Amino acid sequence: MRDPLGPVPFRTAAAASGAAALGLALTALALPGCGGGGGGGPGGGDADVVVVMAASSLTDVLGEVSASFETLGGSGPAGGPAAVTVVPVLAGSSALVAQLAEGADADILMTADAATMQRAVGNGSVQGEVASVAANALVLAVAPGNPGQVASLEDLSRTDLLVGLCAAGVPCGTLADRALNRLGVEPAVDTRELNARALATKIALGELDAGLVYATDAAASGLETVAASGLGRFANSYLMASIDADPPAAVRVVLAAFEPGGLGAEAMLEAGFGPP
Amino acid sequence: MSKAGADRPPALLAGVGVLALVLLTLPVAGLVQRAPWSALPGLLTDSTVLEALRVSLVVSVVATAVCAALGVPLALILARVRLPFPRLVRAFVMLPMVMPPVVGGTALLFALGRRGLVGQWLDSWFGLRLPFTTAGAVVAASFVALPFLVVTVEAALRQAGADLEEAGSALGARAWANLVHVTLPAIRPALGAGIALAWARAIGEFGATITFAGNLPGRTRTLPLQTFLALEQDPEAAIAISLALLAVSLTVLVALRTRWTPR
Repeated sequence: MRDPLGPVPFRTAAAASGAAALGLALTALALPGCGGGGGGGPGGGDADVVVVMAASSLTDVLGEVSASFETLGGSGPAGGPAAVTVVPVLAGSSALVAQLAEGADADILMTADAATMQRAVGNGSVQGEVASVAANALVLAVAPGNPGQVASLEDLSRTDLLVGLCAAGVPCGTLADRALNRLGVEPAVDTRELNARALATKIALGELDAGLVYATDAAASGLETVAASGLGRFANSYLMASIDADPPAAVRVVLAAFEPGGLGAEAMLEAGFGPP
Repeated sequence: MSKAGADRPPALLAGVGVLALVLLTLPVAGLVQRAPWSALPGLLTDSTVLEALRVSLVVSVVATAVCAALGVPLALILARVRLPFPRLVRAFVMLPMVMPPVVGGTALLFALGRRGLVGQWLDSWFGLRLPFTTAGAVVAASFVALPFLVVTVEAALRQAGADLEEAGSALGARAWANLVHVTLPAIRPALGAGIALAWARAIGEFGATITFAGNLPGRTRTLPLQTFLALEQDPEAAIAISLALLAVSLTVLVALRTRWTPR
């Protein structure tokens, strides 16, 4: 039984060993869902593969969505194809946009902020309609047990604390800079981490006393947070779009899952995302 | 040594060798071909780039000195002392070479971090904190670079053999004098090569540095970190910084080679 999660390019590469096999593989690629091979069990048959490029903060959500589609198997939503296999490709939003521009093969793009999505639309890699699927607010997270006795956002200016933020240019860093600027806090930063998860991990390890992380990362890492008035207003929009202007049915099914009430939207709410 | 041409490899092998050289130089050609030449001076004299260059030079030079100071004695132990479980010891020496640097940085955090195995005592007894400091960046660079020096120097020590040193002792030379006047001169080319390799590894270091030492301009943000950040926002700047890093590295490597090793 072949692995339905195997990325498409690998299947082609493996088949390249023989011309006949290559021909067969091309047929299978051209006619998804129509190949022979029996199968039939949940996720075991021939499923339409939908490659979703998503910001790494969506790792858990997409894992869940992918599993849900697998259990749905042949009993997919009415009108949809027999089965849909969701293959997540995860990286930082800007890295994904760069990969798309260099010709990476994907069906859907999900970014952690509007700026990166605009870049993808601007350079023509994304042709589909852009929809906002969720929001992610910043929270003030502290090391386990709050050894630095952080009580408010102003404590980020204390030089005796080890304070971390995301790097400027990374969505969570741009957002943190804007929030602190508007709220009039000048932080005494000790490190500008390259992505949101790395920052959350260092706070969870107790190596940093405090930092501004996404609500979802705080929830995923089980971080203690301190109430910070005004911070909740600062949130990034998570945007989603299909790569093609007129995507095939299987891609539409996955897009629809992130509309309010869909299994993707539910998974996002559970992970701590706010409504769009 | 042998007559010219007599030790020339077969044509097929030489062809494959050239292919290997192409594999090594092609990415550099790719970088050069994308280089924004006219904007280069502006991009490279940007204050953030100069700051990162300064941090990179300080960290890599100090780390290389640390590697030499610690690595030569370790190479001497490996080459001259009968150790229990020598293979295991040697495997540990090589470990940072095969370990993904990010894993190395995480391991350093668990060992020397504020809540780490040894780090918690450094913090509570001496108030010494390594993560998120320039010293921490030196530790990260030394950790990944040390094996290159040790392996190179140890191989030379084994090849040189202990005969000369024994002769020295027989002539009444003290252990230290023997080391300085007999052993080190005998392995001078290898020591130079080891130092060059360690420095090259240290200046290109990225993963362990960002994980263990973090990223702060003027303190721990080295050129590789600056390149990574620039790649997200301004690819032209990233190419410019990469080229500068390559130029500095090539210059130093060529200079070290001509200075230390016979042609």
